[in-house]
Amino acid sequence: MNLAAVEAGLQLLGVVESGVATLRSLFSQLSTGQPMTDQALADLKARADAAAATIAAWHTSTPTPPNTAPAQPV
Amino acid sequence: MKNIFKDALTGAAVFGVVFLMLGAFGGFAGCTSFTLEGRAEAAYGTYSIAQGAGAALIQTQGIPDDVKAKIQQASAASKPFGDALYAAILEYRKDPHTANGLDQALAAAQAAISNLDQTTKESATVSGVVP
Repeated sequence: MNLAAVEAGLQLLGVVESGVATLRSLFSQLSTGQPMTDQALADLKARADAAAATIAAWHTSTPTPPNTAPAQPV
Repeated sequence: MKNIFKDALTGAAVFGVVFLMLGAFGGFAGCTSFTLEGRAEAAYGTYSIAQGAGAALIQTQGIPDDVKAKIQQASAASKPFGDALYAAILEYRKDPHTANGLDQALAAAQAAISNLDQTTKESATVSGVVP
């Protein structure tokens, strides 16, 4: 297993952990009428922002085509 | 060889759990018997998990660049709506009179969040991460 796969796995585990916490809060809200705590919401935002930054930082690995423009006469 | 199968199965299982959660959040967000704040939180939960799944897919080797580019576009398109929804939830908590603003932010965010959610699901299926 390479490092990228490990990182992706850890990221997903974070997603699952965050999702479980949020689902628990929502079920709690259903049963008690209490909303998600500010901290839980802030944690969700931190995770969403970090994920969005990771996605935004990705750039295609396709090499740019060589410059095929004809040479300018000297 | 055994490890490759194990890794693939683990990855598929974890992605499966993530997409089950997205389904649950989508159900909460669309449930009209839920409070406005609860629906907004569920929509923001969908947004957060879909961004996380997108980030994991972007970092997964073997997924075609055009699929990753679609995830990137959907992520960038949904971010302003996600941020606005988060701000509207906080505003509503400070002042419940801003319910109309929260309702509007939720309505505006739903299409972009749904698109991001759908894009990550399709990308995972197309690239074989989820069978």
